[in-house]
Amino acid sequence: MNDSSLLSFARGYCLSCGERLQTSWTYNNLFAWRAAHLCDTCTGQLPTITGPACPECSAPEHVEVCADCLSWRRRSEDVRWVKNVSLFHYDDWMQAWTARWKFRGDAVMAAAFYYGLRRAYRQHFRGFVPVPVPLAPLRMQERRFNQAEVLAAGLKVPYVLALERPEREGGKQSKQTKRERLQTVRGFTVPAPEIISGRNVLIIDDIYTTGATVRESAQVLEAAGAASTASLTLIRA
Amino acid sequence: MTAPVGMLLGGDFWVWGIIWLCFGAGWIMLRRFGIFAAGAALMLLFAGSSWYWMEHNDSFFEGTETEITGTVASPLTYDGGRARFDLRTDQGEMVPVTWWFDTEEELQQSKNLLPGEQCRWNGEMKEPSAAGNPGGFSYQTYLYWEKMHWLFTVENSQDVECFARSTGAVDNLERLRAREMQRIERFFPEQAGGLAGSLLFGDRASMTGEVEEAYRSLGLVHVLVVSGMHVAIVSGAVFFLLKRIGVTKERSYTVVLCLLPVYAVLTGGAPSVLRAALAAGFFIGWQKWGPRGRRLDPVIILLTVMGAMLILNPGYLFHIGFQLSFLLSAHLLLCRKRMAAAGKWGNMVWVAGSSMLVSLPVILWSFYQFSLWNVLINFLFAPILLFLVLPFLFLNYLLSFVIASPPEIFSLVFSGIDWMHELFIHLAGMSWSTVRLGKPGLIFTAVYAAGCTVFVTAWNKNVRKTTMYLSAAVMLAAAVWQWTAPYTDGRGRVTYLDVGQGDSTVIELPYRQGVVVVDGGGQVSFNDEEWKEQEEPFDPGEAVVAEYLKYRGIRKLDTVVATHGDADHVNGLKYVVEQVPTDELWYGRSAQYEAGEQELLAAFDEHTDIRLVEGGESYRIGDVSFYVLHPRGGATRF
Ligand SMILES: [Zn+2]
Ligand SMILES: [Zn+2]
Repeated sequence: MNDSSLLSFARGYCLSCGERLQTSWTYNNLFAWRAAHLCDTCTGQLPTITGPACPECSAPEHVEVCADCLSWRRRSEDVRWVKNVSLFHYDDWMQAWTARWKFRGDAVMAAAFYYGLRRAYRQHFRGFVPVPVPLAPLRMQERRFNQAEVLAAGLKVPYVLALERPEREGGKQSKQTKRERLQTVRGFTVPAPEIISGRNVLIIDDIYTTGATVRESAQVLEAAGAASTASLTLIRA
Repeated sequence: MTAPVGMLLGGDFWVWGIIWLCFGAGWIMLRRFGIFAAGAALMLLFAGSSWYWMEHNDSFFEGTETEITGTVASPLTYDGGRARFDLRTDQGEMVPVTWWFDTEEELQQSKNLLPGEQCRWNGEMKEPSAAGNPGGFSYQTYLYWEKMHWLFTVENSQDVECFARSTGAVDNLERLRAREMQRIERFFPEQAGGLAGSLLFGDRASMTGEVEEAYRSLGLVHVLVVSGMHVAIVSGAVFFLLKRIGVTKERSYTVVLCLLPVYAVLTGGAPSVLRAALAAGFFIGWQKWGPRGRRLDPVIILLTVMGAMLILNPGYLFHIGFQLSFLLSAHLLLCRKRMAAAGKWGNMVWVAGSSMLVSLPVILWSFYQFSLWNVLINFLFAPILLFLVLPFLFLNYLLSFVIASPPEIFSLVFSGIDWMHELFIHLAGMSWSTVRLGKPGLIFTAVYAAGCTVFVTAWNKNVRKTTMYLSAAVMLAAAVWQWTAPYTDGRGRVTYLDVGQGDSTVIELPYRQGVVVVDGGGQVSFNDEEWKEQEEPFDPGEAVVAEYLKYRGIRKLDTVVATHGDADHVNGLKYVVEQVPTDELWYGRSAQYEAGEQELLAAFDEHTDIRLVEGGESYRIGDVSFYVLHPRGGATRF
């Protein structure tokens, strides 16, 4: 497998494992003109969300609206909320993948999921304005790219950096407990509300864990005049 | 030059386009060469090679020769008092020879004539007949692509002068093949023998026409051709044996590589055998000499073999066996990953179902109809034939070297085979289970092809159910449209078919209010001695009239008219009435009928109602009146 494969279907290297691409000829890629980004093995391991999922947040294995969503509904801080759509579960493979993507600064890796994201956008959120969730400036310096913005850019639809996040925040989100996370107020602001006022806004983020980040953004955006809010995230933890 | 180009443009021109589009697209997707350069270069290469091929596909004969000298190049196949074989002249031109015998001794003696003999015959050159009827088979075109231009007929008792025997490798193999085919004919009972002849030596001529037709209409004919499965089994067995003896892997590759062409010749060299043998050879050659560790996708192998075969003989493109063979192999290769995920049973159902679906556009284009039993029969009988019947026949064939007649216990299996064939004939003969759509035009074929490609692709992707339903719905709608199209067409159509003696007239009324067939030609049997009797004499009713009805998608006849009782005008109608549901048959009223007429009417009576008509009567079918002019006045006959 490590040697180059002559005459194989695609060329280049797998964005995840770095193997040379050895995609076999199947109906799946016979009529696909986009270049493959992941090898067959990695494609097989993708934890794609299939089957029943919460209609409001894509939480896998829920037929009806999940408890999390119901509790969000009760608080009803964002009344014009539509739903969250995610492409993948969060499993070991995805964890390793995100780690490389985010913390090692491998921004290009996201290209593997552009197609899936675009399809989800067209299917669920046609006409929405993508708004990536911003990173705190300090974190931005650390990582050198905002993964949410990279995903938004992949949609190939003009996106708006409507949200901003002032500099005043403690430890990384992943190190907090669920309760802490829910309580944290990120203090998003919308510096130029007129851009999104009266429009349907789609919040883009890499991961939907408790929904706190997304919901808070939604709340702020609605306050700034968004007609409705929804979110598209790569992963549903 | 102009004639073949005309054939090309007039006939199945679209096939070129589609196949080469796929072929070019496949290479383009490699993204190794410039995107369009590769596809364009291939197209040019193929255009050049087929132009060269056609330029050099000429005859050395004038057509006036009365003597022919050459090497027997194929085993002789017998039908009644004549034998057929291919003769290779010294210039390398192939000529099909039909040899009529005067006495049975002559016939028996001719069985000593094996491929490789170089002999001289006296006889007559004939031009093969072109398609005279719409939708009909053109023997001329068929032979043209086989590089044959003349037919040679040998009549009258004569001493065949054989002066030498060729020692060429291919001739020796053909000789072996002829001997083994004769052995099978002697050793096996009839039905099993026919099956063994085609499964082991690719000799379909040994099957009775009725059985072969049943296989064809049930969509099982792919089992009868020697193909990839056989080549895989044979090479697998050789590998296994060599490994047992302790031969190295490298050596075994060489041995199998040498055996493949031998096997291809022994099994008759049909396109499916060539495909399988070439692909296996390519694969082994790649393993042996190819760059280490570099994998070759099987689809690439298949495409390369297809390209190579088409460059050698562009006529393969029109060969239905070639078309189906490559189409189905490519299909199965393209969905192999998905099949592996489907599990064993799902897998088998999928293979049967999707193969039928994918071959449907091609089958409709060539045969104008398909059987609803197709999937079920393939699912049930294809494995039985390949994994039980084939090994059994092979075992029995091996036994023929040791003992004089098959063991008593085998008769059970032989009668099982007879029973199976009975069942096939029965199922194939059911008119309700055959969906007869008629020849689909270019647009319908394109819709069917696109529909099933989308369907199969969506199934493979496993996500978009709606796409699957949508493509299925589109295909169904197209089929319904094609089915009902004649009922919305206000134009009537009267077609005179060339059936040898006289005409056969097919009258299609506007809006398909009714279809009437008048006469059907027919072969006159001369009450020959038994050895001279043909097993399946040419029947214009079957080969011309019924074929035309299929071509037009005519599923039911309102009236069949037999104008008079001469066998050469109405015998062909027997087959038509038997195969196509017919409301009634008109025959002239008379006080008395000759024995021949009575026999004929009895035969018709089995399948339809007979109405005796008389001059002055008139009948309405739809909005159209039909007047009977003759016979007049009851007892007076023409
Ligand atoms: Zn990989
Ligand atoms: Zn939920």
